[in-house]
Amino acid sequence: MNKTILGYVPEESPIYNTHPATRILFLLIVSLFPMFISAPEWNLLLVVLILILMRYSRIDFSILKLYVPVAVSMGSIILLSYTVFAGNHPEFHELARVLGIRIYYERILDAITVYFRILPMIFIMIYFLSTSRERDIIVAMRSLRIPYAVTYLVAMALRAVGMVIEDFSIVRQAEQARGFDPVGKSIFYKMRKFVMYIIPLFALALRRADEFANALIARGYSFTGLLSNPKRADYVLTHYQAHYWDYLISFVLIVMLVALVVMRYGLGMLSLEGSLTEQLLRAWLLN
Amino acid sequence: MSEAPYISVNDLVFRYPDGTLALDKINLKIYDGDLMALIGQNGSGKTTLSKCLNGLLKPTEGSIIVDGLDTRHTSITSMAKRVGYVFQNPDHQLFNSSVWSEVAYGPRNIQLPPEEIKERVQEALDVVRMPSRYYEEHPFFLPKGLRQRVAIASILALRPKAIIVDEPTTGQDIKQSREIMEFLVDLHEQQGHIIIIITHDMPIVARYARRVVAMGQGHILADGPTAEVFAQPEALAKTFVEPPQITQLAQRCADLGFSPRTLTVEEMMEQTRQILNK
Repeated sequence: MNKTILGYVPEESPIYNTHPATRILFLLIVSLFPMFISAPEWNLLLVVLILILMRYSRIDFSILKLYVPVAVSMGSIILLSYTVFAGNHPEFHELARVLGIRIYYERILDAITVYFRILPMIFIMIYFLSTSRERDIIVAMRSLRIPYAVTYLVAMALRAVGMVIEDFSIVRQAEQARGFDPVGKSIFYKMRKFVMYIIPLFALALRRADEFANALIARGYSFTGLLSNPKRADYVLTHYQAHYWDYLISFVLIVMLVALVVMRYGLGMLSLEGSLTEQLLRAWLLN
Repeated sequence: MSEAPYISVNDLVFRYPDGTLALDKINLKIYDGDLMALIGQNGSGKTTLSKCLNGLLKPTEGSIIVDGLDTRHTSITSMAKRVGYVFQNPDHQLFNSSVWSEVAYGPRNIQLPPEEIKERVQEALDVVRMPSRYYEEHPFFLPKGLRQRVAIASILALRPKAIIVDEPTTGQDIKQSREIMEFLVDLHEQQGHIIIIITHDMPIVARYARRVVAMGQGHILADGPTAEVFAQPEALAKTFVEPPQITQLAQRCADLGFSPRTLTVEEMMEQTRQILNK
Protein backbone atom coordinates (compact mmCIF):
# COMPACT_ATOMS: atom_id res chain seq x y z
CA MET A 1 0.00 0.00 0.00
CA ASN A 2 1.16 3.52 -0.74
CA LYS A 3 0.39 6.08 1.94
CA THR A 4 -1.00 9.06 0.11
CA ILE A 5 -1.98 12.45 1.47
CA LEU A 6 -5.57 11.35 2.11
CA GLY A 7 -5.26 7.62 2.67
CA TYR A 8 -3.87 4.42 1.22
CA VAL A 9 -3.82 3.18 -2.37
CA PRO A 10 -2.45 -0.23 -3.46
CA GLU A 11 0.98 -0.03 -5.12
CA GLU A 12 -0.47 -1.93 -8.09
CA SER A 13 -2.99 0.86 -8.78
CA PRO A 14 -2.84 1.88 -12.47
CA ILE A 15 -2.54 5.51 -11.38
CA TYR A 16 1.10 4.84 -10.50
CA ASN A 17 1.88 4.08 -14.14
CA THR A 18 1.51 7.78 -14.83
CA HIS A 19 4.13 10.45 -14.16
CA PRO A 20 3.32 12.80 -11.24
CA ALA A 21 3.40 15.75 -13.66
CA THR A 22 0.57 14.13 -15.66
CA ARG A 23 -1.46 13.81 -12.49
CA ILE A 24 -0.94 17.44 -11.53
CA LEU A 25 -1.87 18.48 -15.09
CA PHE A 26 -5.03 16.41 -14.69
CA LEU A 27 -5.81 18.31 -11.47
CA LEU A 28 -5.13 21.72 -12.98
CA ILE A 29 -6.96 21.16 -16.27
CA VAL A 30 -9.96 19.11 -15.12
CA SER A 31 -10.53 21.55 -12.23
CA LEU A 32 -11.14 24.18 -14.90
CA PHE A 33 -13.84 22.14 -16.67
CA PRO A 34 -16.70 23.19 -14.35
CA MET A 35 -15.84 26.84 -15.00
CA PHE A 36 -17.01 26.35 -18.58
CA ILE A 37 -20.03 24.22 -17.72
CA SER A 38 -23.12 25.92 -16.33
CA ALA A 39 -25.63 23.09 -16.77
CA PRO A 40 -25.65 21.20 -13.42
CA GLU A 41 -26.38 17.84 -15.07
CA TRP A 42 -23.09 17.99 -17.02
CA ASN A 43 -21.17 18.81 -13.87
CA LEU A 44 -22.91 15.90 -12.16
CA LEU A 45 -21.74 13.70 -15.03
CA LEU A 46 -18.21 14.95 -14.40
CA VAL A 47 -18.55 13.85 -10.76
CA VAL A 48 -19.66 10.40 -11.92
CA LEU A 49 -16.67 10.17 -14.27
CA ILE A 50 -14.31 11.06 -11.43
CA LEU A 51 -15.94 8.41 -9.25
CA ILE A 52 -15.34 5.86 -12.03
CA LEU A 53 -11.70 6.98 -12.18
CA MET A 54 -11.46 6.60 -8.40
CA ARG A 55 -12.76 3.04 -8.66
CA TYR A 56 -10.33 2.30 -11.52
CA SER A 57 -7.47 3.72 -9.44
CA ARG A 58 -8.50 1.43 -6.56
CA ILE A 59 -9.26 4.18 -4.06
CA ASP A 60 -11.13 3.03 -0.99
CA PHE A 61 -14.59 4.67 -1.34
CA SER A 62 -15.05 4.74 2.43
CA ILE A 63 -12.87 7.89 2.58
CA LEU A 64 -15.64 9.73 0.73
CA LYS A 65 -17.98 9.60 3.71
CA LEU A 66 -15.53 11.85 5.57
CA TYR A 67 -16.34 14.59 3.08
CA VAL A 68 -20.11 14.28 3.25
CA PRO A 69 -20.37 16.87 6.09
CA VAL A 70 -18.18 19.22 4.00
CA ALA A 71 -20.42 18.77 0.94
CA VAL A 72 -23.62 19.20 2.96
CA SER A 73 -22.41 22.25 4.90
CA MET A 74 -21.09 23.84 1.73
CA GLY A 75 -24.43 23.25 -0.03
CA SER A 76 -26.32 24.71 2.93
CA ILE A 77 -24.14 27.83 3.04
CA ILE A 78 -24.50 28.40 -0.72
CA LEU A 79 -28.25 27.88 -0.59
CA LEU A 80 -28.63 30.21 2.39
CA SER A 81 -26.45 32.93 0.91
CA TYR A 82 -28.32 32.81 -2.40
CA THR A 83 -31.81 32.71 -0.89
CA VAL A 84 -31.90 34.33 2.58
CA PHE A 85 -29.32 36.96 1.64
CA ALA A 86 -30.53 37.34 -1.94
CA GLY A 87 -31.76 40.92 -1.51
CA ASN A 88 -34.76 42.46 -3.21
CA HIS A 89 -35.21 41.67 -6.91
CA PRO A 90 -38.62 42.66 -8.31
CA GLU A 91 -37.56 41.32 -11.72
CA PHE A 92 -37.26 37.74 -10.36
CA HIS A 93 -40.01 35.19 -9.75
CA GLU A 94 -40.89 35.31 -6.08
CA LEU A 95 -41.72 31.81 -4.78
CA ALA A 96 -42.43 32.52 -1.13
CA ARG A 97 -41.97 35.05 1.63
CA VAL A 98 -40.69 33.67 4.96
CA LEU A 99 -40.46 36.13 7.87
CA GLY A 100 -40.19 38.95 5.35
CA ILE A 101 -37.47 37.23 3.36
CA ARG A 102 -38.25 36.84 -0.33
CA ILE A 103 -37.29 33.51 -1.87
CA TYR A 104 -36.72 33.76 -5.62
CA TYR A 105 -36.72 31.00 -8.21
CA GLU A 106 -33.73 32.47 -10.06
CA ARG A 107 -31.60 32.57 -6.89
CA ILE A 108 -32.36 28.90 -6.11
CA LEU A 109 -31.30 28.03 -9.67
CA ASP A 110 -28.11 30.07 -9.19
CA ALA A 111 -27.37 28.27 -5.90
CA ILE A 112 -27.77 24.86 -7.57
CA THR A 113 -25.54 25.92 -10.47
CA VAL A 114 -22.78 27.19 -8.19
CA TYR A 115 -22.98 24.12 -5.96
CA PHE A 116 -22.70 21.72 -8.90
CA ARG A 117 -19.73 23.71 -10.19
CA ILE A 118 -17.87 23.40 -6.89
CA LEU A 119 -18.76 19.74 -6.28
CA PRO A 120 -16.64 18.31 -9.16
CA MET A 121 -13.72 20.49 -8.06
CA ILE A 122 -13.90 18.94 -4.58
CA PHE A 123 -14.04 15.42 -6.07
CA ILE A 124 -11.09 16.16 -8.37
CA MET A 125 -9.09 17.38 -5.38
CA ILE A 126 -10.04 14.30 -3.33
CA TYR A 127 -9.03 12.09 -6.27
CA PHE A 128 -5.71 13.88 -6.66
CA LEU A 129 -4.83 13.93 -2.94
CA SER A 130 -6.00 10.32 -2.49
CA THR A 131 -3.59 9.09 -5.14
CA SER A 132 -0.65 11.44 -4.58
CA ARG A 133 2.15 11.22 -2.10
CA GLU A 134 3.91 14.32 -0.90
CA ARG A 135 6.98 13.53 -3.03
CA ASP A 136 4.83 12.97 -6.15
CA ILE A 137 3.58 16.53 -5.93
CA ILE A 138 7.05 17.97 -5.40
CA VAL A 139 8.43 15.98 -8.37
CA ALA A 140 5.48 17.10 -10.49
CA MET A 141 6.05 20.76 -9.65
CA ARG A 142 9.74 20.51 -10.44
CA SER A 143 8.95 18.80 -13.76
CA LEU A 144 6.73 21.75 -14.60
CA ARG A 145 9.70 24.08 -13.84
CA ILE A 146 7.96 25.82 -10.96
CA PRO A 147 10.44 28.02 -9.00
CA TYR A 148 12.24 26.36 -6.11
CA ALA A 149 10.80 28.67 -3.45
CA VAL A 150 7.22 27.88 -4.51
CA THR A 151 7.95 24.13 -4.50
CA TYR A 152 9.52 24.50 -1.07
CA LEU A 153 6.50 26.37 0.24
CA VAL A 154 4.12 23.74 -1.16
CA ALA A 155 6.28 20.93 0.28
CA MET A 156 6.02 22.52 3.75
CA ALA A 157 2.28 23.00 3.35
CA LEU A 158 1.88 19.36 2.29
CA ARG A 159 3.84 18.18 5.29
CA ALA A 160 1.49 20.25 7.42
CA VAL A 161 -1.54 18.68 5.70
CA GLY A 162 -0.20 15.19 6.47
CA MET A 163 0.34 16.13 10.11
CA VAL A 164 -3.09 17.73 10.40
CA ILE A 165 -4.71 14.56 9.04
CA GLU A 166 -2.80 12.47 11.58
CA ASP A 167 -3.75 14.91 14.33
CA PHE A 168 -7.37 14.75 13.23
CA SER A 169 -7.35 10.98 13.64
CA ILE A 170 -5.87 11.25 17.16
CA VAL A 171 -8.24 14.06 18.15
CA ARG A 172 -11.18 11.94 17.00
CA GLN A 173 -9.96 9.00 19.06
CA ALA A 174 -9.41 11.29 22.06
CA GLU A 175 -13.05 12.42 21.87
CA GLN A 176 -14.22 8.82 21.47
CA ALA A 177 -12.17 7.85 24.54
CA ARG A 178 -14.36 10.28 26.48
CA GLY A 179 -17.55 8.67 25.30
CA PHE A 180 -18.34 10.75 22.21
CA ASP A 181 -20.11 8.37 19.89
CA PRO A 182 -21.35 9.90 16.61
CA VAL A 183 -22.59 6.54 15.27
CA GLY A 184 -26.22 6.77 14.23
CA LYS A 185 -26.42 10.54 14.82
CA SER A 186 -27.71 12.92 12.16
CA ILE A 187 -25.41 14.75 9.77
CA PHE A 188 -26.37 18.08 11.39
CA TYR A 189 -25.39 16.76 14.82
CA LYS A 190 -22.02 15.72 13.42
CA MET A 191 -21.58 19.11 11.74
CA ARG A 192 -22.39 20.89 15.00
CA LYS A 193 -19.87 18.76 16.87
CA PHE A 194 -17.19 19.37 14.25
CA VAL A 195 -16.01 22.38 16.26
CA MET A 196 -14.52 20.12 18.91
CA TYR A 197 -12.21 18.72 16.26
CA ILE A 198 -11.39 22.11 14.80
CA ILE A 199 -10.28 23.79 18.05
CA PRO A 200 -7.55 21.29 19.04
CA LEU A 201 -6.41 21.09 15.41
CA PHE A 202 -6.15 24.86 15.24
CA ALA A 203 -4.30 25.01 18.59
CA LEU A 204 -1.88 22.30 17.49
CA ALA A 205 -1.33 24.00 14.13
CA LEU A 206 -0.50 27.29 15.85
CA ARG A 207 2.01 25.66 18.20
CA ARG A 208 3.51 23.62 15.36
CA ALA A 209 3.82 26.61 13.01
CA ASP A 210 5.83 28.37 15.68
CA GLU A 211 8.11 25.33 16.15
CA PHE A 212 8.44 24.91 12.39
CA ALA A 213 9.50 28.52 11.90
CA ASN A 214 12.01 28.28 14.77
CA ALA A 215 13.42 25.04 13.33
CA LEU A 216 13.93 26.69 9.92
CA ILE A 217 15.62 29.74 11.41
CA ALA A 218 17.80 27.53 13.63
CA ARG A 219 19.12 25.85 10.47
CA GLY A 220 20.01 29.13 8.83
CA TYR A 221 17.03 29.41 6.48
CA SER A 222 16.45 32.82 5.03
CA PHE A 223 14.04 33.88 2.33
CA THR A 224 15.99 34.91 -0.75
CA GLY A 225 13.23 35.58 -3.28
CA LEU A 226 10.91 33.50 -5.44
CA LEU A 227 13.16 33.30 -8.47
CA SER A 228 16.33 32.13 -6.74
CA ASN A 229 16.97 28.48 -7.35
CA PRO A 230 19.80 27.37 -5.10
CA LYS A 231 20.96 23.77 -5.37
CA ARG A 232 20.18 22.10 -2.10
CA ALA A 233 20.21 18.58 -0.69
CA ASP A 234 17.14 16.72 -1.93
CA TYR A 235 15.22 14.19 0.10
CA VAL A 236 13.20 12.94 -2.91
CA LEU A 237 15.28 10.05 -4.16
CA THR A 238 12.69 8.15 -6.21
CA HIS A 239 13.23 8.41 -9.97
CA TYR A 240 10.24 8.83 -12.21
CA GLN A 241 10.02 8.28 -15.93
CA ALA A 242 7.50 9.77 -18.35
CA HIS A 243 6.01 7.31 -20.86
CA TYR A 244 4.32 7.95 -24.19
CA TRP A 245 0.90 7.64 -22.53
CA ASP A 246 1.77 10.53 -20.20
CA TYR A 247 2.18 12.79 -23.25
CA LEU A 248 -0.98 11.31 -24.75
CA ILE A 249 -3.05 11.93 -21.60
CA SER A 250 -1.72 15.50 -21.32
CA PHE A 251 -2.53 16.15 -24.98
CA VAL A 252 -6.07 14.74 -24.63
CA LEU A 253 -6.69 16.87 -21.52
CA ILE A 254 -5.63 20.04 -23.32
CA VAL A 255 -7.79 19.14 -26.35
CA MET A 256 -10.75 18.54 -24.06
CA LEU A 257 -10.25 21.93 -22.40
CA VAL A 258 -10.08 23.68 -25.77
CA ALA A 259 -13.16 21.75 -26.93
CA LEU A 260 -15.05 22.87 -23.83
CA VAL A 261 -14.14 26.50 -24.41
CA VAL A 262 -15.31 26.22 -28.02
CA MET A 263 -18.53 24.45 -27.04
CA ARG A 264 -19.32 26.99 -24.34
CA TYR A 265 -18.40 30.26 -26.03
CA GLY A 266 -18.37 29.31 -29.71
CA LEU A 267 -21.42 27.08 -29.89
CA GLY A 268 -23.30 28.26 -26.78
CA MET A 269 -23.59 24.72 -25.43
CA LEU A 270 -23.48 23.57 -21.75
CA SER A 271 -25.26 26.74 -20.61
CA LEU A 272 -27.90 26.94 -17.92
CA GLU A 273 -30.61 28.20 -20.23
CA GLY A 274 -32.54 25.25 -21.58
CA SER A 275 -30.61 22.76 -19.45
CA LEU A 276 -32.39 19.71 -18.06
CA THR A 277 -32.02 21.03 -14.49
CA GLU A 278 -33.52 24.37 -15.43
CA GLN A 279 -36.46 22.70 -17.20
CA LEU A 280 -37.15 20.38 -14.25
CA LEU A 281 -36.84 23.13 -11.64
CA ARG A 282 -39.03 25.47 -13.67
CA ALA A 283 -41.68 22.77 -14.03
CA TRP A 284 -41.53 21.99 -10.31
CA LEU A 285 -41.40 25.49 -8.83
CA LEU A 286 -43.06 27.78 -11.35
CA ASN A 287 -45.80 25.73 -12.98
CA MET B 1 -5.18 -10.45 42.49
CA SER B 2 -8.64 -11.80 41.72
CA GLU B 3 -9.15 -14.88 39.54
CA ALA B 4 -11.25 -13.43 36.71
CA PRO B 5 -9.35 -10.91 34.59
CA TYR B 6 -10.92 -7.48 34.07
CA ILE B 7 -9.47 -7.38 30.54
CA SER B 8 -8.81 -10.53 28.57
CA VAL B 9 -6.97 -10.36 25.23
CA ASN B 10 -7.40 -13.52 23.19
CA ASP B 11 -5.31 -14.28 20.08
CA LEU B 12 -5.44 -10.63 19.11
CA VAL B 13 -4.26 -9.75 15.62
CA PHE B 14 -4.33 -6.14 14.42
CA ARG B 15 -3.45 -5.01 10.94
CA TYR B 16 -3.44 -1.34 9.84
CA PRO B 17 -5.14 -0.28 6.58
CA ASP B 18 -1.74 -0.11 4.83
CA GLY B 19 -1.29 -3.81 5.60
CA THR B 20 1.22 -3.42 8.46
CA LEU B 21 0.84 -6.22 10.97
CA ALA B 22 1.02 -4.37 14.30
CA LEU B 23 -0.09 -7.12 16.69
CA ASP B 24 0.31 -10.82 16.09
CA LYS B 25 -1.57 -13.37 18.22
CA ILE B 26 -1.42 -11.45 21.50
CA ASN B 27 -2.75 -13.11 24.63
CA LEU B 28 -2.86 -11.06 27.80
CA LYS B 29 -4.88 -10.95 31.01
CA ILE B 30 -5.16 -7.76 33.06
CA TYR B 31 -6.49 -8.11 36.57
CA ASP B 32 -8.13 -5.87 39.11
CA GLY B 33 -5.18 -4.54 41.13
CA ASP B 34 -2.68 -4.35 38.29
CA LEU B 35 -0.33 -1.38 38.03
CA MET B 36 1.29 -2.30 34.79
CA ALA B 37 3.86 -0.82 32.42
CA LEU B 38 3.83 -1.56 28.70
CA ILE B 39 7.38 -1.20 27.39
CA GLY B 40 9.15 -1.78 24.09
CA GLN B 41 10.87 -0.01 21.24
CA ASN B 42 9.00 2.40 18.95
CA GLY B 43 6.71 0.47 16.63
CA SER B 44 6.60 -2.57 18.93
CA GLY B 45 2.80 -2.37 19.17
CA LYS B 46 2.33 -0.82 22.64
CA THR B 47 0.05 2.02 21.58
CA THR B 48 -1.88 -0.17 19.13
CA LEU B 49 -2.49 -2.75 21.86
CA SER B 50 -3.62 -0.12 24.34
CA LYS B 51 -5.99 1.46 21.80
CA CYS B 52 -7.45 -1.99 21.20
CA LEU B 53 -8.00 -2.41 24.95
CA ASN B 54 -10.56 0.39 25.07
CA GLY B 55 -12.17 -0.25 21.69
CA LEU B 56 -10.64 2.70 19.83
CA LEU B 57 -9.25 0.10 17.43
CA LYS B 58 -11.18 -3.06 16.67
CA PRO B 59 -9.31 -6.37 16.36
CA THR B 60 -8.62 -7.70 12.87
CA GLU B 61 -8.75 -11.19 14.40
CA GLY B 62 -9.25 -12.48 17.93
CA SER B 63 -11.13 -10.71 20.67
CA ILE B 64 -10.82 -8.49 23.72
CA ILE B 65 -13.22 -8.94 26.58
CA VAL B 66 -13.48 -6.02 29.01
CA ASP B 67 -15.61 -6.50 32.11
CA GLY B 68 -17.48 -9.25 30.25
CA LEU B 69 -18.06 -7.14 27.12
CA ASP B 70 -16.55 -7.87 23.72
CA THR B 71 -14.97 -4.65 22.36
CA ARG B 72 -16.03 -5.62 18.82
CA HIS B 73 -19.70 -5.34 19.70
CA THR B 74 -19.69 -2.68 22.42
CA SER B 75 -20.34 1.01 21.85
CA ILE B 76 -17.61 3.60 22.37
CA THR B 77 -19.64 5.17 25.19
CA SER B 78 -19.81 1.88 27.10
CA MET B 79 -16.10 1.27 26.63
CA ALA B 80 -15.22 4.80 27.79
CA LYS B 81 -16.92 4.04 31.11
CA ARG B 82 -14.70 1.01 31.61
CA VAL B 83 -11.30 1.81 30.11
CA GLY B 84 -10.06 5.40 30.03
CA TYR B 85 -7.26 6.49 27.73
CA VAL B 86 -5.10 9.53 28.41
CA PHE B 87 -3.33 10.56 25.22
CA GLN B 88 0.35 11.47 25.20
CA ASN B 89 -0.24 15.02 24.05
CA PRO B 90 -3.01 16.73 26.04
CA ASP B 91 -3.45 19.22 23.19
CA HIS B 92 -5.14 16.49 21.18
CA GLN B 93 -8.13 16.40 23.47
CA LEU B 94 -8.60 19.85 24.96
CA PHE B 95 -11.15 21.98 23.13
CA ASN B 96 -13.53 23.43 25.70
CA SER B 97 -13.29 27.04 26.82
CA SER B 98 -12.69 26.27 30.51
CA VAL B 99 -11.04 23.59 32.60
CA TRP B 100 -14.37 22.83 34.27
CA SER B 101 -16.29 22.29 31.02
CA GLU B 102 -13.40 20.24 29.63
CA VAL B 103 -13.65 17.80 32.54
CA ALA B 104 -17.45 17.81 32.35
CA TYR B 105 -17.40 16.85 28.66
CA GLY B 106 -17.10 13.07 29.22
CA PRO B 107 -19.82 12.81 31.90
CA ARG B 108 -22.13 14.86 29.63
CA ASN B 109 -21.45 12.43 26.79
CA ILE B 110 -22.64 9.53 28.91
CA GLN B 111 -25.72 11.60 29.79
CA LEU B 112 -25.37 11.83 33.55
CA PRO B 113 -27.69 14.16 35.50
CA PRO B 114 -26.25 17.68 36.13
CA GLU B 115 -25.78 17.11 39.86
CA GLU B 116 -23.72 13.99 39.30
CA ILE B 117 -21.68 15.73 36.58
CA LYS B 118 -20.86 18.50 39.05
CA GLU B 119 -19.89 15.99 41.72
CA ARG B 120 -17.67 13.98 39.37
CA VAL B 121 -15.95 17.05 37.91
CA GLN B 122 -15.16 18.39 41.38
CA GLU B 123 -13.90 14.98 42.48
CA ALA B 124 -11.68 14.56 39.40
CA LEU B 125 -10.22 18.06 39.75
CA ASP B 126 -9.55 17.41 43.44
CA VAL B 127 -7.83 14.12 42.65
CA VAL B 128 -5.47 15.77 40.15
CA ARG B 129 -4.93 18.58 42.67
CA MET B 130 -5.99 21.28 40.26
CA PRO B 131 -6.12 24.63 42.08
CA SER B 132 -9.61 26.12 41.90
CA ARG B 133 -8.30 29.40 40.46
CA TYR B 134 -7.77 27.53 37.17
CA TYR B 135 -11.32 26.14 36.89
CA GLU B 136 -12.50 28.92 34.58
CA GLU B 137 -9.20 29.26 32.70
CA HIS B 138 -8.94 28.22 29.07
CA PRO B 139 -7.00 24.90 29.04
CA PHE B 140 -5.07 26.02 25.94
CA PHE B 141 -3.24 28.70 27.97
CA LEU B 142 -2.19 26.47 30.88
CA PRO B 143 1.39 25.12 31.22
CA LYS B 144 1.91 21.60 29.86
CA GLY B 145 1.98 19.95 33.30
CA LEU B 146 -1.43 21.43 34.13
CA ARG B 147 -2.82 20.56 30.69
CA GLN B 148 -1.75 16.96 31.35
CA ARG B 149 -3.63 17.05 34.65
CA VAL B 150 -6.76 18.40 32.93
CA ALA B 151 -6.49 15.55 30.40
CA ILE B 152 -6.23 12.98 33.20
CA ALA B 153 -9.08 14.61 35.15
CA SER B 154 -11.28 14.51 32.06
CA ILE B 155 -10.82 10.74 31.96
CA LEU B 156 -11.18 10.29 35.74
CA ALA B 157 -14.55 12.02 35.61
CA LEU B 158 -15.83 9.02 33.65
CA ARG B 159 -14.73 6.79 36.57
CA PRO B 160 -13.34 4.01 34.41
CA LYS B 161 -12.02 0.97 36.23
CA ALA B 162 -8.89 0.86 34.08
CA ILE B 163 -6.88 3.89 32.98
CA ILE B 164 -4.28 3.76 30.23
CA VAL B 165 -1.79 6.62 30.27
CA ASP B 166 0.35 7.03 27.17
CA GLU B 167 3.86 8.29 27.97
CA PRO B 168 2.86 10.33 31.03
CA THR B 169 6.39 11.53 31.80
CA THR B 170 7.55 12.52 28.30
CA GLY B 171 8.81 16.10 28.26
CA GLN B 172 8.46 16.46 32.04
CA ASP B 173 11.29 17.15 34.44
CA ILE B 174 12.10 14.62 37.15
CA LYS B 175 9.98 16.46 39.75
CA GLN B 176 6.91 16.57 37.51
CA SER B 177 7.46 12.97 36.38
CA ARG B 178 7.50 11.79 39.98
CA GLU B 179 4.44 13.89 40.83
CA ILE B 180 2.50 12.37 37.94
CA MET B 181 3.59 8.84 38.80
CA GLU B 182 2.85 9.24 42.51
CA PHE B 183 -0.52 10.60 41.57
CA LEU B 184 -1.16 7.52 39.38
CA VAL B 185 -0.01 5.24 42.21
CA ASP B 186 -2.48 7.06 44.50
CA LEU B 187 -5.24 6.45 41.98
CA HIS B 188 -4.30 2.79 42.02
CA GLU B 189 -4.00 2.42 45.78
CA GLN B 190 -6.66 4.82 47.05
CA GLN B 191 -9.26 4.64 44.31
CA GLY B 192 -8.66 1.06 43.17
CA HIS B 193 -8.07 1.84 39.48
CA ILE B 194 -6.15 -0.52 37.23
CA ILE B 195 -3.31 1.61 35.82
CA ILE B 196 -1.55 0.81 32.57
CA ILE B 197 1.30 3.13 31.62
CA ILE B 198 3.05 3.15 28.26
CA THR B 199 6.57 4.43 28.67
CA HIS B 200 10.23 4.34 27.64
CA ASP B 201 11.36 5.61 31.04
CA MET B 202 12.84 2.52 32.71
CA PRO B 203 13.76 4.09 36.08
CA ILE B 204 10.10 5.17 36.36
CA VAL B 205 8.96 1.64 35.50
CA ALA B 206 11.37 0.14 38.04
CA ARG B 207 10.21 2.46 40.78
CA TYR B 208 6.45 2.40 40.28
CA ALA B 209 5.20 -0.49 38.13
CA ARG B 210 4.25 -3.77 39.80
CA ARG B 211 4.01 -5.66 36.53
CA VAL B 212 5.77 -5.20 33.20
CA VAL B 213 4.75 -6.35 29.74
CA ALA B 214 7.60 -6.02 27.23
CA MET B 215 6.61 -5.92 23.56
CA GLY B 216 8.59 -6.28 20.37
CA GLN B 217 7.47 -6.55 16.73
CA GLY B 218 3.85 -7.10 17.67
CA HIS B 219 4.54 -9.88 20.18
CA ILE B 220 4.73 -10.05 23.96
CA LEU B 221 8.34 -10.89 24.78
CA ALA B 222 8.09 -10.89 28.57
CA ASP B 223 5.29 -10.51 31.08
CA GLY B 224 5.58 -10.64 34.87
CA PRO B 225 6.51 -8.78 38.03
CA THR B 226 8.82 -5.85 37.30
CA ALA B 227 11.91 -7.35 38.95
CA GLU B 228 11.37 -10.65 37.15
CA VAL B 229 11.10 -9.03 33.71
CA PHE B 230 14.17 -6.83 34.29
CA ALA B 231 16.05 -9.98 35.24
CA GLN B 232 15.60 -11.21 31.62
CA PRO B 233 18.07 -9.02 29.71
CA GLU B 234 17.94 -11.31 26.63
CA ALA B 235 14.20 -10.81 26.22
CA LEU B 236 14.53 -7.06 26.76
CA ALA B 237 17.43 -6.78 24.30
CA LYS B 238 15.11 -8.04 21.54
CA THR B 239 13.06 -4.89 21.93
CA PHE B 240 16.05 -2.58 22.58
CA VAL B 241 15.11 -1.96 26.18
CA GLU B 242 17.73 -1.86 28.90
CA PRO B 243 16.91 -2.27 32.59
CA PRO B 244 17.72 0.78 34.77
CA GLN B 245 21.43 1.25 35.43
CA ILE B 246 21.07 0.30 39.08
CA THR B 247 19.53 -3.05 38.04
CA GLN B 248 22.32 -3.63 35.49
CA LEU B 249 24.92 -2.86 38.17
CA ALA B 250 23.29 -5.30 40.60
CA GLN B 251 23.14 -7.97 37.87
CA ARG B 252 26.86 -7.55 37.15
CA CYS B 253 27.67 -7.69 40.87
CA ALA B 254 25.52 -10.78 41.47
CA ASP B 255 28.61 -12.82 42.37
CA LEU B 256 29.23 -10.37 45.24
CA GLY B 257 25.85 -11.20 46.69
CA PHE B 258 23.64 -8.54 45.07
CA SER B 259 20.20 -9.58 43.87
CA PRO B 260 19.78 -9.34 40.07
CA ARG B 261 16.23 -8.25 40.83
CA THR B 262 17.30 -4.97 42.41
CA LEU B 263 15.21 -2.11 41.08
CA THR B 264 16.03 1.01 43.06
CA VAL B 265 19.00 2.78 44.62
CA GLU B 266 17.38 2.28 48.03
CA GLU B 267 17.31 -1.51 47.52
CA MET B 268 20.93 -1.44 46.36
CA MET B 269 21.97 0.56 49.43
CA GLU B 270 20.20 -1.85 51.75
CA GLN B 271 21.94 -4.83 50.16
CA THR B 272 25.30 -3.05 50.28
CA ARG B 273 24.82 -2.45 54.01
CA GLN B 274 23.97 -6.10 54.58
CA ILE B 275 26.99 -7.31 52.56
CA LEU B 276 29.35 -4.94 54.40
CA ASN B 277 27.97 -5.99 57.76
CA LYS B 278 28.66 -9.69 57.06
